[in-house]
Amino acid sequence: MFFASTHPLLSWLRPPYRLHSVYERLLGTEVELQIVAADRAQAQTAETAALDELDRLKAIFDRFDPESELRRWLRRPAGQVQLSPELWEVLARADHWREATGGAFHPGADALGAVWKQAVQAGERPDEAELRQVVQQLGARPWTLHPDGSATLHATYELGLNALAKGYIVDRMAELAARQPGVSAVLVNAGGDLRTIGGRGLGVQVADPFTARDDAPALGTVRVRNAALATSGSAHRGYDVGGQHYSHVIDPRTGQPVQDVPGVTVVAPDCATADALATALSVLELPAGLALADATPGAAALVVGRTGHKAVSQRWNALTGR
Amino acid sequence: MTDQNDRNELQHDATDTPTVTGPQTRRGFLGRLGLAAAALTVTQLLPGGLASAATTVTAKTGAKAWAAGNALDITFTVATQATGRVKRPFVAVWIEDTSGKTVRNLTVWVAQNRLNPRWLAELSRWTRDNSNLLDTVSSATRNPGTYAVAWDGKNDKGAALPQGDYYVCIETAREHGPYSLVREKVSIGSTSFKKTLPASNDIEAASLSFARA
Repeated sequence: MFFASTHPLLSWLRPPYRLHSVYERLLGTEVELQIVAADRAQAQTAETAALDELDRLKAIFDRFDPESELRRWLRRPAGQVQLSPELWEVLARADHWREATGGAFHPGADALGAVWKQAVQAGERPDEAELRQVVQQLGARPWTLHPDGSATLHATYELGLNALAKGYIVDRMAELAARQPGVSAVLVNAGGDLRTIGGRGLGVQVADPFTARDDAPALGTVRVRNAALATSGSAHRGYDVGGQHYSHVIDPRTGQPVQDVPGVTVVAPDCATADALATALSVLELPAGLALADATPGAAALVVGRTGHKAVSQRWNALTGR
Repeated sequence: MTDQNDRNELQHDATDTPTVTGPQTRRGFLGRLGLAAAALTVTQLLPGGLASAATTVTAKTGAKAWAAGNALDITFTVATQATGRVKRPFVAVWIEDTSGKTVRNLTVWVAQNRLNPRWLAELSRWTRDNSNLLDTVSSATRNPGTYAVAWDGKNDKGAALPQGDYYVCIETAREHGPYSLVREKVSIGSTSFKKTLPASNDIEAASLSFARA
């Protein structure tokens, strides 16, 4: 046993072990982990490291936990507060995408979402004046980041970092797992937002964005290696008001749910970028969205309209080919 | 706790659904998963023409055929209340006729490291090579524990079945969790309907909708 695990030739001959787990109810969805390692123990160690990292970051970003760092910070407007490096970095990325998209990506979209949720409970459309007021508030910057790692919160409306935070957590999990001894390849897939490191990459079946059925045929398969992929669409979530279904994607520039939300799939070097782009492209007009993907290094997008019309950005075929 | 649940389940079967052909056990469930997976693999290996060329059963029996384009949507929610690191349950969904014979296996989600559960198409990609990552799926963020499949009125060979009475069966098992079975009779006619199914242990909610797909 001692020789089996230490002799270089024997360990070279022994086939690698691939761990494959799917967990329900992590990050508000399901999380799939694949880890290829020299042996089972190393794969399990790497999995535990990734799941522990998820728990650690959840304590920072979980919007449903009143004691998360994010929620505690959101209760302290106006003061300058020292933040964890993780929260500061995600806030900085949110600033970048809010500016790069002209407000189509906005952490304050949650405030509009809250107005729509109330309307769902009341069974009527939200008050237009209330929506306009929130949209106006979103025009100002929600916070100021200071170079010393602290931040000042200006916004008094509801803020959410969902799109970015989930991708960021997926990245940290995948990177940590990939650094563990003996690990040669990693996949972390949080409900469709994924990052893979090492190995020969893998095929990703992109689900039909317009059905929630699990047994429906996929839209197609793309090849991803040492990169991230994220999909957004309205198949699984939305609001029902007065018998009419509205998408869960709200345009922060108008306060209105996006009509005919397209299915958007984005590849990018990391999952936080893929997630932010997928969210932005759900809201942006098609030409502006594709231009944004082209302007983002290492990124490409596939946009599927409600009529089934597909559009791709310049690098899509190059980045997702076999 | 788990044994108690199993016993209740068996009693429930014995009293409420007399047409069940045998007691449902964990072993039986795993066996069913294996058979279903094998059946699906065989189906995939058949040339497409063979399946589509199968004649309809209805012509012989004289019973009415399914209205073209109608489908039975089956939606269910599994174990959303469980806490901690919960692995995805084993899930099987199938259709039985009134004699308890399985006429259609709809979906099997099998555990990790064996068959990639989410998409049936991936069954053919099962490989002994462990050195690479398995293919995966990306969809719009799905709600955890909620599943949706559809039955198009065909049997496993691709032949259209007649209108009439069928049983919709949903079965789940989970590490450290209870065994769960929902088995409900539906009458397929020409009119659309919606129906809420009774819950069972881990299967917290299940519903049917019969309409034009």
